[in-house]
Amino acid sequence: MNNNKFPINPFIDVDPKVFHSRNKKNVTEDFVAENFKSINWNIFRPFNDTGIDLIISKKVCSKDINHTKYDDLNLDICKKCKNETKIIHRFIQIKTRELVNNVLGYTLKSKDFRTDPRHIFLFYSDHTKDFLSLPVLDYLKFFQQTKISHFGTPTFNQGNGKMNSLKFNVSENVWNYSGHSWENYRNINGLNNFMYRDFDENLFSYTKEISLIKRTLFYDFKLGKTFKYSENQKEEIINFINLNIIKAKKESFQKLFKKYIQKINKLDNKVRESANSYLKEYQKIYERTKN
Amino acid sequence: MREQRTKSIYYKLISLGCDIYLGENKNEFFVVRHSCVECKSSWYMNLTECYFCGMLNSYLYYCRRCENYSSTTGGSSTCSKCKQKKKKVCFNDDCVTNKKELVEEFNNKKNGVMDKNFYSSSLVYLKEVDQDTQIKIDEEIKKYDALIFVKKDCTKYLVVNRNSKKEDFKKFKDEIDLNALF
Repeated sequence: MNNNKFPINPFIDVDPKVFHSRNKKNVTEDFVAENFKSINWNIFRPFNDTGIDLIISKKVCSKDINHTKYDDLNLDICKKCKNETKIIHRFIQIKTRELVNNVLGYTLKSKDFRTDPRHIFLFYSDHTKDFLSLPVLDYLKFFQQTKISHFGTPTFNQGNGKMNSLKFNVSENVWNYSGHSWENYRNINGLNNFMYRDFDENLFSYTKEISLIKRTLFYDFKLGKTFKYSENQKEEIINFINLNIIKAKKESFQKLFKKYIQKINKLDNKVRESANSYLKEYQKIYERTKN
Repeated sequence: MREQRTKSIYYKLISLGCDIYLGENKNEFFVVRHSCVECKSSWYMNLTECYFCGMLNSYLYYCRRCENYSSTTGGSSTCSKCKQKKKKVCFNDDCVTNKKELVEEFNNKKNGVMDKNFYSSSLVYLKEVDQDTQIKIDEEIKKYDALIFVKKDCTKYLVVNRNSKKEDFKKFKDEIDLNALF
């Protein structure tokens, strides 16, 4: 299954495996970027720290995307049907970890789950030189369909959810997540999977779909090891989340925000200023809460 | 264009809530703003809300016995009056986490997950011009989503996109017009 063409090692003077956690980040991101460049994608690297490690773009046939191959040159006219080409973009978040006992352990926090369908998680295994890349939609659907627990506790939302189920089977040369194959996301398979999608054309309907799956998965409250509530109490909490989060309309969040402002304004000046200082980076919110 | 001025423009855009991505070509960059799908205003993935009700994090301590809030910065985590441990609780009094029978079990800090967001993005070409240069838009506008013209040694900006009209080419502004950018 492993394709030798993509990824390649663009830095022929050094083995990717020699880098350790403290000097790995830059070379990893460059490794991924050079790989996309080598197959004629345009690349954009972040100037500031953004959470997106790489933006890639490509000109594809505007009439039928299947007319364009993943490594075709960026032409203005489709080679096959002579129609104009259009540009597609993908926003790549790279996760690199060493394999420990053939496991690629990684952490994804709730803030990593954007609802833009063009957001791609790319897991790079430098020991096997594999890219496993999944659009955020496919990642969420994988956990929805397999019912593997990943998101459904407040602990995940606090960002502690280390995932240790992505495994490389050396003898069979295959990747699995809790026994479910991830070969469709590996190297060129993964690339084709995120390239041949209508994400750019139907952006808004996909954001809606992702948002809905997120709500269902992230707010699937479980007691886990954190809470010791009775069944009745658990039911009460689930109903509360259902009403206030899952089924809530945007008006109820607006009401909640007004409630926040009313309450914060009643507090002592010093306390209020302290609370507001945390909101400075959120310009629009800060403007409304500071007075 | 001097590297220092180019960086100055990047930082200006960052201060306006945008992220900058650099391509292979000089003076060409990609500007992205994580935005709400509906109203296009900035979307903040780091902003924390209560997992259970969606209330904004107050970043304050609360003493349940004395019923008062205090700052979390620099202050002690025990109440100065009753010496009981203060907690970071949900700011919404009606939240299930503040319900008397359930309160003890709940942890203090909860992040939230939010609704629909996407990347507003533009491929931009940056050009510095002299004070009296007449702006002419040639073929380059076809390649880019927007062009940003900046006046040399002066904080005046003109953002041109495919919908811009010729009569606007003289209208340099004191701020970068984000609406014309995205």
